[in-house]
Amino acid sequence: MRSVVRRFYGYLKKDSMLLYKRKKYLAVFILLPLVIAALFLFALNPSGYNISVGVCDFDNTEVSRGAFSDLNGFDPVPLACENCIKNLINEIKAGRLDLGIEIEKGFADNIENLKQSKLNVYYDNTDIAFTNLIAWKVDQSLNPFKRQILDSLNSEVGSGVSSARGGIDLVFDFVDLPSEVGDRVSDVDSDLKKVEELDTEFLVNPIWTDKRPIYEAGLKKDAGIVYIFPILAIFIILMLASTSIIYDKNTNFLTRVKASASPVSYLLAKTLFFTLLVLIQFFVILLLFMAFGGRYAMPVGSLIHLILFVGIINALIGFVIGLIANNEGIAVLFSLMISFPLMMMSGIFFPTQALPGIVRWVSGVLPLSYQISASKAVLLFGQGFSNAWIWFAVVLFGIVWWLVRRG
Amino acid sequence: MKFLKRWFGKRKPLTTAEVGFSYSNHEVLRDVSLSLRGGEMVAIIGKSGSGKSTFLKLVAGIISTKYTGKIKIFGRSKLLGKSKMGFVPQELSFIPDLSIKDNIKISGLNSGISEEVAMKRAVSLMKMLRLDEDIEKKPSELSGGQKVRLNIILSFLHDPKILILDEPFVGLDFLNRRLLWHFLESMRKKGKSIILTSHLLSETQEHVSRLIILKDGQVFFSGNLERLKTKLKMNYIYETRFTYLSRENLTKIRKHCAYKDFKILDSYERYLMFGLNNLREKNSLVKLFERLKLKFQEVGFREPNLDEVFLKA
Repeated sequence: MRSVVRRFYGYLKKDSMLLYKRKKYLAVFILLPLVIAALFLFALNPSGYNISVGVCDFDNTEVSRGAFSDLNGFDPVPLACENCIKNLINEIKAGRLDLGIEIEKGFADNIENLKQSKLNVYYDNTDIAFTNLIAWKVDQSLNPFKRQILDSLNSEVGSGVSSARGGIDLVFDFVDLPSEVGDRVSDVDSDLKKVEELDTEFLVNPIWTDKRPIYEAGLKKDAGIVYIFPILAIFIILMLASTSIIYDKNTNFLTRVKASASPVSYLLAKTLFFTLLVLIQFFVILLLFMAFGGRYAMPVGSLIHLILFVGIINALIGFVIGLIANNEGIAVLFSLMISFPLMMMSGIFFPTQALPGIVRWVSGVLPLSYQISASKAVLLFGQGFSNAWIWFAVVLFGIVWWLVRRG
Repeated sequence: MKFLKRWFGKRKPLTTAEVGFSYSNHEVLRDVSLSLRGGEMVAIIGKSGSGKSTFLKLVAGIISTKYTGKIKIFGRSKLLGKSKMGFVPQELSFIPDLSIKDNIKISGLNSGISEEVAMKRAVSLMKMLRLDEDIEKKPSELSGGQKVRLNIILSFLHDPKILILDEPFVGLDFLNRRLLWHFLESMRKKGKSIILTSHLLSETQEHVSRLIILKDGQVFFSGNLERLKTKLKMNYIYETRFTYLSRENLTKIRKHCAYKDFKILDSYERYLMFGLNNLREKNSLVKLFERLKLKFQEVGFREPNLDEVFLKA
């Protein structure tokens, strides 16, 4: 028994010493999660937009200037009218402007005459993320201006109708109209009353969608960790675990292990080692998020369960890669080949609900989706999650053991 | 308890019965049955690809799947007997990023002994193998011969009863080879059983008590050199270098040898080496050379060494 404990301790010690001695691995293990998690945090917490907008104001009226001067989150740059659109497009292509707005001549007149006015928005549609942002951001930013127009229209129509209805009342007060004419005038007055009471916003926006998040707004920021922790863990642990096995193969340490004892204690020690690395990574990321104001539920039992889930599964997948691959380069390539599609299907970049059925099914059976769900349950809501992963871990361990024995 | 200890103690350190191994429809070993006695040093020899290393890897547990037959260590299952074996792989097996000292500690722990015991044993083994180096150095700072010796030390830290060495002399110069033979000899005297593979046949025959020749994955021979000579009917070597040897005459010599069942062990330009069983066979050849009117530049007649016997195997 003592020799089994010694072996276990020896394997842990060896990997710890190697991690310390091989500084580049130490950097990957500590710095990479810090950098990526920090970048992710900044993306989740935009401090304010500073989107430069080139404006071709061909109308050049007070109303047209009002259309862009108060654009929320944009930094308008008026351009000279000569060759304005051509210059605008060139500036966007050159990357000096993020966006362009063209205000056509007659913009203000159209508004005053209750006709629809148009703003043409120019943007770089090859910039996918920016295109998605701009699709709703421009409309959202124009909302105050639109509301201002509608309010003024509403008050104008209201006062006109009130004045007309005042005139009708005056007629009724001083003139004795024949009953047929009186009824007709009463109908007109009734119609005018409807117009007077009409909410003009209804004409533009008959159905108002009011999005109400079910969790408090701050939780969106806190939720970042439930994605970034499992993603970083799978990305880094797959690479470290697979290259660690390759290292043991290349230095023939694995041969010594197989000659000395059953490889089970070696595999268990290695799994524990990488689970401990996941634990350290988790705390690095957690502290970073907490420094940015994140607040999390900390049920100790569920947290340990989560770390075991993420650490054991990722380490075992890494071992499988390391035992199949011939060298460190192939192992890293395999790790990337596995971790990137997993990330794509994890719901962090694209909503899984919008993925095709088969892809959604695949993403549903992959470990990263479960790790994200488990992180969400534990960290955001303080809940537990299913133990079903243990069966997957047992199967993976069996595969790893068989691969080691097979040599 | 004492009875059991004595009973197990009397059991042979290593016994294999009908061991076979194949992969991808290629049969590497077939029905390899042999045993190793306490304090015996045995060498497995054979051509490249004959299955020598595979056999040692099977015994040491490096390969543990797809084999048939039984391997017993002191009469017990191979897995239970692993701690009694020390295996020196053909390739250098240490961690290059750690110092010699750390390698010793980790190898000791891997063998199930404490770091302190591992260090003590390492000091003793280093003395025996004359590896007088600063243990804080990294293995990469050692010379080729020193690396091989370190590889051996790391394998025997747990004082195993059976020493298994796969081509331990590769990369060693004459002095280092002698040093290693002396070391193995002293281990054998301490009662250790040693099984090794080597391509240095002449040196091996001097030190081992038994030779096992593997041929096409099977045991072709097991015994000492004298028995091998008898088995192969090859007690003499007859070497000739002619002043001139035409292609025509060479063909005639070859035909004669094939007819008389003599083996030409080596031939190069005007040089020929024959493996012969007795003086009569030599005389037969001399008569043939006289008949062909061949003149000698050099001629030799002597007992063969293992390398030469091996050529006939």
